[in-house]
Amino acid sequence: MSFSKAFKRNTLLVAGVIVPDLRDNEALSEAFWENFVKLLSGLPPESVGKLQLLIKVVSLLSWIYNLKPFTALNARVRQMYIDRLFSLPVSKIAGGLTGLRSLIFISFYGIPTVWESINYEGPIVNRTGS
Amino acid sequence: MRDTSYDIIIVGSGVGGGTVADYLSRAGSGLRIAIIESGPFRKKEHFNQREIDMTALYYNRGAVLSENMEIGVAAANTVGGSSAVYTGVSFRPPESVLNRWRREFGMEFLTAEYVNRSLDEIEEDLNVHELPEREDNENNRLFRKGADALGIPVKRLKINTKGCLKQGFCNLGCTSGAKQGTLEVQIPRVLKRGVTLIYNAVVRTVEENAVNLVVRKAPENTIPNEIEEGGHRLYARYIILAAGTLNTPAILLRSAKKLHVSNPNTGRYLTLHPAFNINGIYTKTITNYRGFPKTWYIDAFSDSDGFYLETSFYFPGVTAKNNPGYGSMHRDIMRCYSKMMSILILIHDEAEYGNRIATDRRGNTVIDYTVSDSVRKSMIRALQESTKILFAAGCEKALIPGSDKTPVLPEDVPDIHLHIAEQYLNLTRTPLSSAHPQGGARMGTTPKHAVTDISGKVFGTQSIYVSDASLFPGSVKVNPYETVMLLAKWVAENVLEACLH
Repeated sequence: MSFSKAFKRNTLLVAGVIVPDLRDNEALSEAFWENFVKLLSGLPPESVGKLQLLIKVVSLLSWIYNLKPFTALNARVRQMYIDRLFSLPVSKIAGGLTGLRSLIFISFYGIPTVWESINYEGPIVNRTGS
Repeated sequence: MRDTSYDIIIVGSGVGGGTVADYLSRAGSGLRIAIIESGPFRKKEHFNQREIDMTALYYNRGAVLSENMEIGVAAANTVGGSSAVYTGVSFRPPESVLNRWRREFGMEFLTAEYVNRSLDEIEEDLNVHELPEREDNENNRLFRKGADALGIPVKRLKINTKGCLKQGFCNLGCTSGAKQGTLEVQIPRVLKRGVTLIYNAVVRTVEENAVNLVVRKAPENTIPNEIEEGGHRLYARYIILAAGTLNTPAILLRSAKKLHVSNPNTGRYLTLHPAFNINGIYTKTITNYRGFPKTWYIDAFSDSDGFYLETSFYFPGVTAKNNPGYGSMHRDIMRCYSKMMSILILIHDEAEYGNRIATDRRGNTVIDYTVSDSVRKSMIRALQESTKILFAAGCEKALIPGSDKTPVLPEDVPDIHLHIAEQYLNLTRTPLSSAHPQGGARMGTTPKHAVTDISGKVFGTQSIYVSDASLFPGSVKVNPYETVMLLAKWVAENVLEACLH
């Protein structure tokens, strides 16, 4: 499964708001992205399409709310903007972001190097992933 | 396929399908039976205890969202169905529920004698028992401590394990095969008896005596398909739909024209047993992700406020999802993961006509479910009581959806009704979850109110039966697998009777 550079870049920016540890950490971001793509590959195509649309909407609405492209926002403004989107009365956007938040958390906390920071010892069985 | 004709085709290999196959294939039946499963065939060797991989055991990676995005349903898509990912918590249907089903829906076969005899046999087969208290992990001990301090009676859960290693990964598939679900008990048993199992096979429609399916490519690290990929049409004298509440009603809806059946109740009266899993932060490391996750429950609020509380514990990704917020505050919360105590809230929801499984224009399942006012009220009461238990157990913080502050602190308890209130419950931001979908093809005496008759046969058809939780006319209010098995046994007896005549 492959995605556009814009989708990856914008998703990582949203993920950096949800999980600040991802900001400015290329190695962690790449590990996150690998997990995220793995999760998406198990979703029905319609769900993946909705997610891509959501990221596009987040990117486009930035012009309206911030008068700037989403990629040009600094970390503080980006966080305020995402906070605002979560509070929108439009359930498709807020609900979509909540679904995206879940995927981001599962992807991030699925990275073995992250486990130490939360004192999680990980699986007991030593097998490779499916 | 060499043999495309069977006596019985069962659609679904979960608790309903596996059980009905088990009863129908017993010695002497001589019936040619096939089970068709939409998910891949994974055995215990394929489970690796990693969330990122094992969410593949579920539809939509663990959350099929309702149309309004207020609730996400976790349902398994793998051989063994949800028994491959449940915790093995074993409840008999409450007597009050059975009374109602007998009285209001004509399910008079559910006599105390029939229910007890059937479930005695099922529980013995699955080694249903209570774990000794000395084996409880800290989460379970603290739950009891908190409830005891508040004078709330706790009860011991029964579970269906054999030789459990208490690794704590039940919901990601049991790597030791200790959990006596369908994957470990009924499926191996029926395969030995010659039942055919076809996996990665999605049933689109059924007709009288025929099933139309598409076999998809087997995912990596699962057992390869034994039949060629692509469309197939199989024939049988009887077809039993046991594809679960998300799928059985959808198959019936897609098949309505071919079956010449138009029953407005199909898909209706869906109940989801809405759930929240909440966490408190204890004063020291308690490592609750190890050990058996569930040993205690509370039903003291069931009649008065409409909820059960159970112990539970989840993995980091799901725990992160369950905790409120995001950003640096959330990161600080997750750094306390190994200090977390956790409680599962299960709300009783009433079967309402408007809540339903529908299909979109491509025929895919759509969950059309609105959280009722009474469920919201119950949820707030449950969140308040659970918060009190967390603090009575010794937690120093509580992470509660539906509250005006994160975290809630012990000093907030006297005013808990002000801090945890309906006005703060935003289900779009903090969706409920569900692992117990029920209804959609409810059993009853007349097609005016139901989809199947009392034998489990779909009204207006000659050969189509249902054998899963979609038969439930209302919520069973407890973890449902024993009730599904009970009804599957009954349906098997009726199909067997039909086969003989």
